[in-house]
Amino acid sequence: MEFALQTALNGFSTGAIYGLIAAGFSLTYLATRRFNFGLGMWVMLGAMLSYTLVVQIELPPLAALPLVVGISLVLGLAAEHISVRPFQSSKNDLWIVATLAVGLMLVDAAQLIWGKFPLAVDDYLGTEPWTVGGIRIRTQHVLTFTAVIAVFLAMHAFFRHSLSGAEYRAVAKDRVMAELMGINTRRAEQLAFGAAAALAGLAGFLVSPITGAEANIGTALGFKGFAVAIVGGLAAPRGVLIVGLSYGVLEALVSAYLFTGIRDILSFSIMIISLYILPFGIFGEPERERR
Amino acid sequence: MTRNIPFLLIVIALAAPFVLPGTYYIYLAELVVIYAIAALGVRQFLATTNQLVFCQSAMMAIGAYSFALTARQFGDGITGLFIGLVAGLIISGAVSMALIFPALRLRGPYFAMITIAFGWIVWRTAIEWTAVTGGDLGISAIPNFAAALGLPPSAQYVASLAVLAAVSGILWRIGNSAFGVLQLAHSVDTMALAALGVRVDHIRLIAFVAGSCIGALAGAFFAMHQAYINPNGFEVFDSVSLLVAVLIGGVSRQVGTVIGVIAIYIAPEFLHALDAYRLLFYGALVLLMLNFAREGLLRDNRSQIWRRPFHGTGAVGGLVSWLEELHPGPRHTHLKISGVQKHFGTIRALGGVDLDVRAGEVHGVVGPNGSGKSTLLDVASGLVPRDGGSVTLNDLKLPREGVDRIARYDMLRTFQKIRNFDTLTCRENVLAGIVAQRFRTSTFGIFRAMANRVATRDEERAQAILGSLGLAAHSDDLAAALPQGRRRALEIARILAAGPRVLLLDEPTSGLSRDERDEIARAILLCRDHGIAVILVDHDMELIEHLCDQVTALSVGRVIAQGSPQAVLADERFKADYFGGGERDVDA
Repeated sequence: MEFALQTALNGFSTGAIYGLIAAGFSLTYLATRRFNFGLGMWVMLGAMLSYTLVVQIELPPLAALPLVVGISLVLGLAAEHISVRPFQSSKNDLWIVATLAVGLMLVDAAQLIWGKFPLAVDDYLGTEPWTVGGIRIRTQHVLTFTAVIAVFLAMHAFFRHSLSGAEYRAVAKDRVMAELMGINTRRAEQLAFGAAAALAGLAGFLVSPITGAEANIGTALGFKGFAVAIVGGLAAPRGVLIVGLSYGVLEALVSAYLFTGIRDILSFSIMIISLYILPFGIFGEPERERR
Repeated sequence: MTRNIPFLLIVIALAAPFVLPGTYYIYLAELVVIYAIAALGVRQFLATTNQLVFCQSAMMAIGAYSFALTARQFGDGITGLFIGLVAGLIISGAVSMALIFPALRLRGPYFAMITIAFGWIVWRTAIEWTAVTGGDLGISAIPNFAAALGLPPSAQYVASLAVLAAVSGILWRIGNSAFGVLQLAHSVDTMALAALGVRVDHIRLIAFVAGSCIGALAGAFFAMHQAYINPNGFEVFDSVSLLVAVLIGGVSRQVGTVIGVIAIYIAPEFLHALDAYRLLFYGALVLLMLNFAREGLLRDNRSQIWRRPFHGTGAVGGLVSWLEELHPGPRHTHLKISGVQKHFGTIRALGGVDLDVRAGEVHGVVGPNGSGKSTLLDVASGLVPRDGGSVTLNDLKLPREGVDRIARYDMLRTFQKIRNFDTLTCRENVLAGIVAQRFRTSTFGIFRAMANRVATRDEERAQAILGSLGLAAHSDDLAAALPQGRRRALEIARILAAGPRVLLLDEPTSGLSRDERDEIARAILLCRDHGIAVILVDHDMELIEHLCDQVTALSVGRVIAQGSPQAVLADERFKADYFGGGERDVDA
């Protein structure tokens, strides 16, 4: 029973990471109806940067965090410029290939810079697990969960109560109308893409002590984040968090009690089935197709 | 002639290994041929649907594993090989059908994601299902044709070449058939094609299943070529490479695809120094290509059929003779809309509307914006499902939903925002209407369309119908290049070519000049005189009064007046509602 509880608690923090990545997808989806297909690779980049800043340069994690997020944001803005912007009007959804291509380049670049082997990052709040009522829990799991909840609350406050947040929601609702109202939709779209990269960077920062920093961790994380975004509803960031957490727990229990190999097969099957029966997600509302 | 140069270059390149020394070139060329087969499957789907697919290497895996396992069961002889190929085709066909069938309504990125997830599942399954696939160790000692027949390895290369030639030949032939017209139209505007009554879902389904089977075929030959398979060659990244090869070569021609494959799979063989930078190199290549040569290396906006020169004899009659040919004799069409309701959320768009039209009648629908006119057409034509009431055609209850289903009852519509196949010429637009009319009715009409070439007579008919609507001079112009009024005429020409019994026109004269409007009006009268039942939604009261036999006035989703045009247009409630001044109950 204790083992099950401990597994489930660990699942919460992985789930929070999925939720965070999924929020990145829904952020860009809402503003542009597009998203970064290589977003998982940006999580990997965040993990790699964290390794360099925290382990190699020995910055305190609190100082490394803004750097990781900042660098991801700037690179994300640059990536938007070459992989999304040029394909605004293409009928083939070429941006999918272009964002994937950028992601693959990141993997290769990471292998060249950081090598092919996993690099260890220590838990930011100390390697000694905390013990609560007989359950030992890693500090990183606690930190991750708390940080993600804080980010979601901050995002909620931003979109509800700030003017830029309102502008963003206007762009999400109706791009043309927002443009006619004098909102700089171009900037909103670009920022959404950069912000998604920044969220991915944050996810990488949080996840690197758990998974280790390695060039190949991004793919599965990214696609699972997407699966969570789909099941929760791309247009419903709150649903995404709930689904992310539940999925994290489910996955932890499945790999603990069944076998690890089935984990990815399970998550992608859930996504496919969910797209079939609930294309707008559990928490999303169907949008009427514009003619 | 310059068109054939790339083709000749490919033939030379593929023939070269026979004269080059050593077996390495044969090995390499065979690999290229195999990937070219798989890529043709991707191209075919992309060209038909404009949708990216990221699971072709999974289909190759299914083909490779099914082939290897089955062929082993039946011994290494030639029979076993053929049974293995058939098994690969059947299994990939079934799997791709199961995948695409529920995904028919998914578009763009969602569909791309489904294919990525599926590709991932197949790859993981190949790793985890060790009992069958051998896991990471894979399957070895896979037989091939050359060995089974006791021929040198180059014979296997010849076999692969033959498959490439056969696949590309069949695809070329289908592109040239009547189905090719529908395929091209599908890639330009799916909704406009559905409005002609074509089962667009079937087109998409066939394109995906065919593409997947072609992938599986390539996979089987891949297994023979390698004699050993493990999950490594079948990752999602390999699907991306195939797609990139297609995009680099240009989607419009098969030759381009083969050139793209050569570029993607041969170049790295000679650039081993680049191995560490492979993904960087690919990524940069893709970005550069997408940014600077969007259409790929071989740019060509027209498929085979469209380049065929057209020499009309003028012996085929225009619209009048076409309508008479379709429905000789008097007609007894009776469309009855009764109590139709539609709500959007809490907004009532239609609150129980009744309307009757008969053959040879023009029924006008008028009302201010938001009164439900367009919604009425949308509901009647199946574009949006109705919430209540019924629509019957000659006492036959029409389905609730599905533009193409309702169009197959010969009830066709135009759209308020003009929908033509913009990148096709005017004649091709009308031709698509004629082909749709010929092949839409039966379930297997699509397969008949594949077997039939476009009759010259149909091309001439298309030309003549254009002439009937004053578009003869534009027949070789792209639809998108026409001025507004002409575009509307073209849309109506295409719809009439598809042979309506009931015609639903949504504001056909809005934004037109007087002359253009009169042309449309003449076409409507022609339809009426040939026994078509017409519902006409418009704001032009002069036109309504002039053309219509009956008029229905709507206000906030309800009928407020119905009868002769003179009576309705003089109706006090209608005047107050439409021209303002009176009281309106709700501002919708």
